[in-house]
Amino acid sequence: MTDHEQLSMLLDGELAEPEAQALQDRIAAEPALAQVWATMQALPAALADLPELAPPPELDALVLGDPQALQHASPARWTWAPLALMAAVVLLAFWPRPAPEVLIVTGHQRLSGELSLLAGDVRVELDGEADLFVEPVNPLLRESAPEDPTMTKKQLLAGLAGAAVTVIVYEGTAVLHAADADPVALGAGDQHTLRAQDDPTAAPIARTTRTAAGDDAEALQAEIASLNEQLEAARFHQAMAKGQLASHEGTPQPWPDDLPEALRPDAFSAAVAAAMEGFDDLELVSVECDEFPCFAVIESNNRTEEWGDQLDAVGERLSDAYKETLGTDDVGTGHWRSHYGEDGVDVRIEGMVLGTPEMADDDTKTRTSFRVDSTMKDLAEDRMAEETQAAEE
Amino acid sequence: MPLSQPRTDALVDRAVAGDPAAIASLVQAHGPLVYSLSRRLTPDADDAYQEVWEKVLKALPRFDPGGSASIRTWIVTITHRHLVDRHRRRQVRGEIVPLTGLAAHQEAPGVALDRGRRQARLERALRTLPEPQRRVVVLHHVQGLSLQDIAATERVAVGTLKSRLHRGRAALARRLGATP
Repeated sequence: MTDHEQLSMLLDGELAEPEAQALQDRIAAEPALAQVWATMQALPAALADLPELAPPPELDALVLGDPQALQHASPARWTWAPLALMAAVVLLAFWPRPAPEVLIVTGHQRLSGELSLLAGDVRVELDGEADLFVEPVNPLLRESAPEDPTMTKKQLLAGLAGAAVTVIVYEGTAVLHAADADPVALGAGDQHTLRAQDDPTAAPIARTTRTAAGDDAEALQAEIASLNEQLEAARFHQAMAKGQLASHEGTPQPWPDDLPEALRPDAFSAAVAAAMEGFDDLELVSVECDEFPCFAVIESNNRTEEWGDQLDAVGERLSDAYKETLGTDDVGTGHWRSHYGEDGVDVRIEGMVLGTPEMADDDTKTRTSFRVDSTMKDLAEDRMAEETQAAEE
Repeated sequence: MPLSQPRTDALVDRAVAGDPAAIASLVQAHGPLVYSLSRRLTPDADDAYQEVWEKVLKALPRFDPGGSASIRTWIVTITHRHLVDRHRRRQVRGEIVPLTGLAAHQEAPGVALDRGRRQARLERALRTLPEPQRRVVVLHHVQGLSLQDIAATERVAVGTLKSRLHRGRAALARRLGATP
């Protein structure tokens, strides 16, 4: 534990008396440490004093669907404020990965890092920082059922064909790949727009222009109507993106009314804890019961090749216990086991689910897999960030 | 930022009943709370802000004005849950790219940014923390939530949260040096 962390614990009175006294003695003797201690003591008040941040007015207008409020938004934002809602980003890469794959549906995004992404039907390879604008919405998508989880990525992309893609590179490089065209390489300071070939099915680009105060009211109304049209399209796109995600994430599962008591949260937690007894290398990090079914997240501190054997043994104990409790052999355990390691950081985690007939349908399996997977990756990232930070200190 | 405001008032009652003007007032009154959390705890604050309000307004008919939670606490809880969920989704699908930076937003019209140099330094230091650490620091120290309440929403042990808090504060103190 670092001095800084010890000081944080001292602040909360969490150090044992001998450790606290020793640290106080050091603070008295070491001016540098005393400065850090003063900083640490001032932190809570400084944080509590941070002001609330007011949202940009157009954001509230979007929340409330209030075109009148949009009228008062800053002119520079008029063009892109509704499109901001379109910025539904579907991220396709899986962690860990060197360069995420990103599908930009449409709208405006500030991008940075090493990215490979699809903007409409243009592939953009970015290594740096850039703004990316995609417009307009192709009417093909509007004819499809909103939130249709069966719509494939291919169909989605086909619907987006015809978008105009503009990239402005601020740092690094970007390469734009369009079908039937040579790649376009851009460097810092470059801006380039790729316009799709004429598509008879495409709606005209609903460009908005700045309107000075006092201008003709009719023109203003037309502009608001145009913005509303884009907003409607944006909501449709957002719904589309959500539909895509639903097929991947599954749907939250209600707790069955007739579920045996042994499978409910408290009993499951107790059963997992009992199954882990005697395995000192294992730590029960959490039992996730926000949806049905519960699953356990276990971290292993065993750094040998046999670390998985202990977890297998816990699974067998848990399974055997439930076979006896439920009076059936139709019980087993599901294991999501991951070992993350890089640059000396080593994190070993398992997500453990008890498999019973109540969770045999595909949607429950999809949802459970998503929940376990995301929880484990969240935990792994947290642990790795903490260990990396500790190593830096 | 204390959460112990009056638990409810006529405005909330009207908003719960579906009065559009009251709902607009509610968004105006608590928008800064939601936006502050979104800005400090997620890289894509504008999207998160709209998503949170979508959830809040959808769930509003189920809010019990006579219940134990104030509307502010209720909104904080929904925001917190949503931001945790967003964070987890990002872990599944890959790294989300950082959008508009803090400096750019400081210049945005309509945004109240009357903060001193010290607060700007603190905000920048906060942004360098890993998201789980930043959540507990912000929710505990800025919003005044108890570690028990945060742990309940995050579904992790209080000990895990304390560990994150100590690491987060240690990192902040290190980055701020002697003048937080």
